[in-house]
Amino acid sequence: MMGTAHGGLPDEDLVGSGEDRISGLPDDLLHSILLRANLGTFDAARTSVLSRRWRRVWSHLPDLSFIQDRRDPDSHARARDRVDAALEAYSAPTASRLDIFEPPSWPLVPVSRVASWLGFASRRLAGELRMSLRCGQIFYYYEEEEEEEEEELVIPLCERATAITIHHLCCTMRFRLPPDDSAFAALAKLEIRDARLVGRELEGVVSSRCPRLKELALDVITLLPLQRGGDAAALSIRSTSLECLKISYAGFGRLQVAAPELQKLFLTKDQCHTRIVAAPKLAELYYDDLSSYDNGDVPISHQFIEAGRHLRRMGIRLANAATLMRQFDTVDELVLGVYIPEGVQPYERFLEDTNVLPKCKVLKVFLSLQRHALEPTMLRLLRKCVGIKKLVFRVNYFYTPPEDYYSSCKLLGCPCDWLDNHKAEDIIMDSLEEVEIENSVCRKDDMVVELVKLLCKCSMIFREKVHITISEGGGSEYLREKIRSIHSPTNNVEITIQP
Amino acid sequence: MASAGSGDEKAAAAAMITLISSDNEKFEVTEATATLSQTIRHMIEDGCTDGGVPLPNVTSKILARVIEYCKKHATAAAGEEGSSSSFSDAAFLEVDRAFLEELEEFDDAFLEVDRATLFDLILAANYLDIKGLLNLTCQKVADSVKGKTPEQIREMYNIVNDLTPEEEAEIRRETQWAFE
Repeated sequence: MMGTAHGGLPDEDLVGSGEDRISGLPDDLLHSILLRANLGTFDAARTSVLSRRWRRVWSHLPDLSFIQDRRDPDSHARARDRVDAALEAYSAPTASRLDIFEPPSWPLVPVSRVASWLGFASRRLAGELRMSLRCGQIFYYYEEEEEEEEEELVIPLCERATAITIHHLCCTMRFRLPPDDSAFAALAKLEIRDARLVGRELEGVVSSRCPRLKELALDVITLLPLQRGGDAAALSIRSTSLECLKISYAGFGRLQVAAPELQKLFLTKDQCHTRIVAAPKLAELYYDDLSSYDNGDVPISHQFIEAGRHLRRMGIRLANAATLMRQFDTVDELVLGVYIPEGVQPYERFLEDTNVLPKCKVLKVFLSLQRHALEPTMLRLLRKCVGIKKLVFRVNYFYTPPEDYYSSCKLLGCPCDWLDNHKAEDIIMDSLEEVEIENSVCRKDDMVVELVKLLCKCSMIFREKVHITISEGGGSEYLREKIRSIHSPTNNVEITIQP
Repeated sequence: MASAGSGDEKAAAAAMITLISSDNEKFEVTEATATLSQTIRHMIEDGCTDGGVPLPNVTSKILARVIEYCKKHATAAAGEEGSSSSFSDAAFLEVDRAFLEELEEFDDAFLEVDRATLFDLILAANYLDIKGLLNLTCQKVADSVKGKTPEQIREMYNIVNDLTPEEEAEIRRETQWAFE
């Protein structure tokens, strides 16, 4: 059982007067109660035996939800039959949502069965489809010929679907749309994660069969050629409606985008060649990379043709992002994730990467250092970000202070140890007004103290008094005391520690 | 409606709406309170609230409760509008948080009603199209049926099982997939 009533009165208080009021509610209110109870379709369908009135209430619920959570993987076949039976018994002409989730530990769902669920969506869904399940068959790689006969899942036309999210499919998704002008006419959001797709088909669907598509997210996608041996590596998207494009860990050799309404673009580092041929409204760009500098030798090119040179927001993990950053002159808010692993080479790379930064008003830094010194790293960023008004600094988990391993950077002659890189005098910081240090998510008091020390040292070059706010989870006395000891009232800074 | 008096009084009176319950009781409420109901909001927009708004589906007892809810939440709505302008002001957010907590307490206390009243409130919220109140009251019922067997639900809500044993057996057979 799923538990008892939350909040309010215990159930007994609802028992009483003897009159059946609930059955008198109109269907839409009963639906809204059943949906709020988050019962899932199986549980909701059990109300069919309450009385004659209730017999068909569930079968007109607008949302269908099958969240399979049985621990016992042997139950999977029956559990899938139950979904079929429920869809069969469902009697509303259209559903506004269909959710089917299976635990990843379950065996793969046969393609034919997923195809029949998609068939239901194609005929009767006027709303959102969300599927998270693994589909296809398991390959035995020692039998190579077997691999060629991989089953493919054909995605049917869903003309009234407004959003389609398909996760963890594992198999190849095909679109074989009729050659007429039929379309995913209502589709505003398409998200596919973890699947293989035929590049040309995806291009065709996104570019000419989704007239209302606003958001496209492709995550961990392998592109296949239309014919064996063909060129799979390129993806070219043209859309007059697209506003947000997320491509992550897909590694399309070449990505070309022409989307006049595009406002937000998310890319990951493995997306090496990007040509944005038309995106005049682009305002936010995010570039992520979770790996380190190691495999940074792949040549990278990002071109923005017919895009502005200004962005509202740019979020960058600083690795191989130099070519991307050079495309923009000014950014309102620059968010930099800096991770510098141990060793001289990564630090040199960091210096190289930060050679040209766009001019920004707000700089947010997430800093992860392995045995490198904080001071020269921050000074480098401040030196390169001339004209910032506000600095936000978030303390990160990954910080190994150099004191513990004092010798390594010194012995190796790492630039973070060079005296010149610790000088602050020549930095221009006359526009800085405020600094926010977020120490609440993962506390690193030493890092905060170090940073405050650095800012106090810089305070002679501040034109105005700079307000430093430290947001703290819990409020440590140690930190307060430390900061009192470095901060003197003659400094051009004012420090507030928020509890 | 007041037709005389100073300009100030007129302005204040103009912003008042009279709601008339099914048992003919009159309630004077501010427009801000009344327009939490989309139904009444549309009537005001259409200019058909002169002489009061008759609500033939709502008794005075329930209407009084509904108004109590709307008054509280109308202040909250006003507060929300104000807060967006001074979003970064931490002190203000602190006040806001306290207010939201208070609102939550109000909602909890508001729901401490007998079952008949609860269903009357659901119907009134539905008729008047007051989203927050409908959410709140439906959620209360939803929480109570969650995790219950059909037998328990019948008992809890006095649902009379008018199915013959044969019929019930048939439904159970048809929807066997739901009972596994």
